[in-house]
Amino acid sequence: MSGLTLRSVRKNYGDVPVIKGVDLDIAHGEFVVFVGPSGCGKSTLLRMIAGLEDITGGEVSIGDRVVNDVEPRDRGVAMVFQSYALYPHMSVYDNVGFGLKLAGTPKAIRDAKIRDAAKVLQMEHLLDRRPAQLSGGQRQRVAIGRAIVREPDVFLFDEPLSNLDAALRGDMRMELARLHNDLGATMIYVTHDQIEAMTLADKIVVLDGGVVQQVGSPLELYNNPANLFVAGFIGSPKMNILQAAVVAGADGPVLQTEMAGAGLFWRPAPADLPAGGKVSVGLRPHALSRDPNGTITGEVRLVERLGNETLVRLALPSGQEITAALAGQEQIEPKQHITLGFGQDDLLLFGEDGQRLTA
Amino acid sequence: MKTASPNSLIARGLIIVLMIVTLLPFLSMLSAALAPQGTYPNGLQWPADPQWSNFVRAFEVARMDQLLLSSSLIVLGVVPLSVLIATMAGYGLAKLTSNKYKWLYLVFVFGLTLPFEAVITPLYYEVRALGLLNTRFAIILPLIGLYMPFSVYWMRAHFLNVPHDLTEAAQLDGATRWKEFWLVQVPLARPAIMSLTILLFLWTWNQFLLPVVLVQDPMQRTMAGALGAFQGQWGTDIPLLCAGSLLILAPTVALFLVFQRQFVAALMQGAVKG
Repeated sequence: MSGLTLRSVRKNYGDVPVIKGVDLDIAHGEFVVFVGPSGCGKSTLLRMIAGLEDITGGEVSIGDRVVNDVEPRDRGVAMVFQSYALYPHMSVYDNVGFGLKLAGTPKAIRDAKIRDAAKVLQMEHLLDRRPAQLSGGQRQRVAIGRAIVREPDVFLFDEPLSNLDAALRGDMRMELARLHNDLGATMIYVTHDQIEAMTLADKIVVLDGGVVQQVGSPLELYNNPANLFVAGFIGSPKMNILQAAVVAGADGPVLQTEMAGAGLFWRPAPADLPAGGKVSVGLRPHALSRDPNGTITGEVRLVERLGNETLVRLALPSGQEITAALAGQEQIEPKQHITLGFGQDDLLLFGEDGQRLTA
Repeated sequence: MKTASPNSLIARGLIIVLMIVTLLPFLSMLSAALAPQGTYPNGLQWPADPQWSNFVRAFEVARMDQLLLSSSLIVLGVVPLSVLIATMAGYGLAKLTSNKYKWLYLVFVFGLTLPFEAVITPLYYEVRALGLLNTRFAIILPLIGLYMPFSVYWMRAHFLNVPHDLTEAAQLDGATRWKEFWLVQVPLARPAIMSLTILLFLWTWNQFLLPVVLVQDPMQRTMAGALGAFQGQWGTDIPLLCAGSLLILAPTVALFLVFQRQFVAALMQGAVKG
């Protein structure tokens, strides 16, 4: 049983810290996705687990074993690279079997394992080909096959689908999910694509600036983002963020925003917020709907018709633009004025430091 | 039928002129080689009675069979070892050195700037001190050293272009550095190794100055080096001299015909990578 533990893991390039103390527990069999914008350190963290990057501080354990100073080949991990990294001079068969050959696996067992992996990945007919003769999707299968045959404790995927076109990416995503079910192995997956993260993960780790912002299941992150960064990063289209002031009201402090031109008062603010403070209000595009009695009115700037829903970019009187995802095929044209409503429970509040405030 | 444009006609004309200029000396040598013994052939003049036996005689008096053997021994001593060392060094400099040791590579680049003629005298004393004067090692060992700057530069340029992901994939697959080098890097470097082998073969085979300076016995020299002695000995017998020179040329020409494509690729590679 091989889970994985990171304790205060840090990485510096010279004087520049890129991973600033990461603590993480990954249970055996979990599918964990590291997600974040470019340069957030997610790939670096994955490579540190693989042993391809030195660890400046802290401890990485696979199973019960601290692997800080263990060579990559002895860590019991297999990695699928974004570039596939197939050996161009070897056939698919040899590519998949290379690790087994190095480990001195007897030929008969090796052959059986390679053919099993090929069967699982439906690439039996490709075994004699060279990587150059394969399409992107087929190469990715070979790269995954190479990882499978070694039966590693932990699978590492470094943006494996980002070189594929959208349709193929969807197919491969489903295959990876199936593979995880079949193998039951621990998998760590790096991506900047939050749809991949939401669909594949048991647990998502959101990283920004080398710091873990939040760890949780996809829906936890969607429903209860810990801070403004996670709120903005998870969910598509992005969450709308509006500025609000805390003002004194008859029954305690209330929030005031400038949404409809005149000041607009919302539910009582959390009691511990002093009047005069500022907060950010988060509102998901999917929480908005057309409602003649709604509180948000604005001018339509852009309409995107996706068939199952209609995305509307709306300019508020204050000049700020927000996005609404309206269900179905709404008949809306640019320059039209529309009114939208939302449920009070859909509002998420964040303090001036960007952290979530709970009422 | 499509008529050729004036430009391409001019180009073709120029190429034909160039070809004639290149081939003329050889044709002139051939006609001279076929002239009767004791005559002084006059430029391009096909002899009335071609003496093909001149070639047989040149082969015998120059002891061509022994020269072939000697040249082959020298090539076998120089080329495989140079290619092996350069491949390893190129890999090391491209993939294994940290920024701290990048200057090591500059030492090799500096070697590229050394004119061959400048080192020949110190080399003579060096080889003499080693007691290798007048042996084939006097040619083999210095040549290996002299080829290193270019060869290492050449192989490093190749290894720099191999994606780093392959190294990492091999490491994760369980390969040690040594195995990764032999099973992944060397097979991928085959075109570069092939080109280097051809170039080094050519340079060794045509090596003239080093054998002439360091080895007295013509039978221990390369073929091109032996030409010097041959010329000294038979300088007055022009037909024989020409026949001998053509025989000495023959192996490189034959090799070129066999490996034409690789030769051109090797030279083009040099042109692009500078």
